[in-house]
Amino acid sequence: MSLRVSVDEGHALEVLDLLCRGRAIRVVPAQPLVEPSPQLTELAGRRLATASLRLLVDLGRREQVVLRGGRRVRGRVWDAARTAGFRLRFTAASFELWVQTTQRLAEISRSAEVIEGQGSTRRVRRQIRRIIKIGETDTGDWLLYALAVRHLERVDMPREIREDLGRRLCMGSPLASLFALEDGLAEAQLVLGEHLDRLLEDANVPLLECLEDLMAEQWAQQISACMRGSSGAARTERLNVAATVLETYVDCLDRAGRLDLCGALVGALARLLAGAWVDEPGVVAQRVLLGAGLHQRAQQGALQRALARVVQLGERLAGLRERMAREGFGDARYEESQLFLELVDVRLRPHLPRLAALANVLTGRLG
Amino acid sequence: MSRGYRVRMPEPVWRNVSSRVESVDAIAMDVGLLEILPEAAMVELLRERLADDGWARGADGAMTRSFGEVVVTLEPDGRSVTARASAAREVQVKGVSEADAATKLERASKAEERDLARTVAQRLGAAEAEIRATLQGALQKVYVEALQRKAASMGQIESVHEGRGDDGELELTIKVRV
Repeated sequence: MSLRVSVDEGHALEVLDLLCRGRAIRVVPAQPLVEPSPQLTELAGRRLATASLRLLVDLGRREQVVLRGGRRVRGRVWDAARTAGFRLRFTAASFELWVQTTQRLAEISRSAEVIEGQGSTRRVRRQIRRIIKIGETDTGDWLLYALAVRHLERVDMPREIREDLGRRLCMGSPLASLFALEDGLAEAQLVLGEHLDRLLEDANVPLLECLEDLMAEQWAQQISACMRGSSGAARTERLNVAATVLETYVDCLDRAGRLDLCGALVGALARLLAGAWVDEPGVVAQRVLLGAGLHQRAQQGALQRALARVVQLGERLAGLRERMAREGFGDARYEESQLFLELVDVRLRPHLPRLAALANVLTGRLG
Repeated sequence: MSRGYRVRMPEPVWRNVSSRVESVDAIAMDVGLLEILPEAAMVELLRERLADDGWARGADGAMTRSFGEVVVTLEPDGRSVTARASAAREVQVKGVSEADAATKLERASKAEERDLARTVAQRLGAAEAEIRATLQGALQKVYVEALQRKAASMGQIESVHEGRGDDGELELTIKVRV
């Protein structure tokens, strides 16, 4: 199939590439596309499906042991035993995200659209509601929204507008909530735990299994970013929200009997220990305060404790390991416990002393 | 050639205003007691050791002691310690009108608040090392006593030897006849 595209249509395809692949937009449109032709829509649909499936296949090609019906199953993502019942379904929400972002992204990305101390203008918030639909979304939309959260970080726009876009994407996608480590679902009358539970339904869980490494990378980047670059109060709030999302996610995994999916969290902690937390605990504890403009010890302590909540997730997983070790052969969670014990013993245990030392310094622990 | 002008300046009616500025700051420290004995018994041992060091016991089980101008409290659940310091000053300004005085007072109060916050933080920082050393010393005594009680519950204690390791850490050897 060959298709000649105009400059504006080329721009629209580049917007799609930005959302699902994180590629920069180079084409400057004469007039952003309002209504794509059926041929262009079909091409965009194929492009979206290919990019999404390719991502899942690339990330899920590693042979993995997962749980299916409470039993351990070994295989790659394309093995039927691993993906039975899984469908990557895109709804009109994905189409709208593409078309509306093409039309409106440049318009809402201007710094003039932010009122100091109040965030985005009402006009921008209205535009964002038009761009991102949050009702009746499905697995494909969840993946696209999560990738959009990740890739919009690279677009030059005011932080307030990026945060508003991110919050709205989270309302439409539990996966985006995990990628953004963002709560703020009250506007959509959603509860974080229930929102994340949808990812753990049998038909949807392959998404989490495939995206483990990408989530680990994303979380490490998010936590590192939370530790710098904004006011002390904003850092404290951001780290507390991130910790809440991660704690809630672990609760959901525990409730669903899928603690074996804690691999992304273990991976994120390991990446942080090799990156933002690589130095001595005292140095890390001081670095999070650098440029935060906090003069009171109480405020400094609150910021360090917010970071400690993330660090202490390692300790929490170690505690869960002790509980899961009591699952005997034939018990309901025996198969899960075997995978979880291996995860903690092989991948987390080597890092526990450094995590404990960092948590001790951040909380000023005595004894 | 020059000319002289007479300008009448009204005598300003000065308005004096004042306000009290206070700054309170705190350091929180977690207490991570090893569970040699049940948690409640460990916390009670800690309270007893602190009482020996001159800490005052509150009705709710909290323990308090002053280190200079810093007041340190072991929370009733025994899981955290908070060191608090505060300072207050009177700020006085005068203005030619109420609005002028209010503006000047606000500006002066903010400057004073910043200054006080720095003073209080320095006060806390200066006392922190002593507070930590005192609490660590008490915790060490708690561990020694808890270990002795645990050993006693296992059998008859034959000997107790306290020494210091190469790294200066306390080493406790308890021989128990089971």
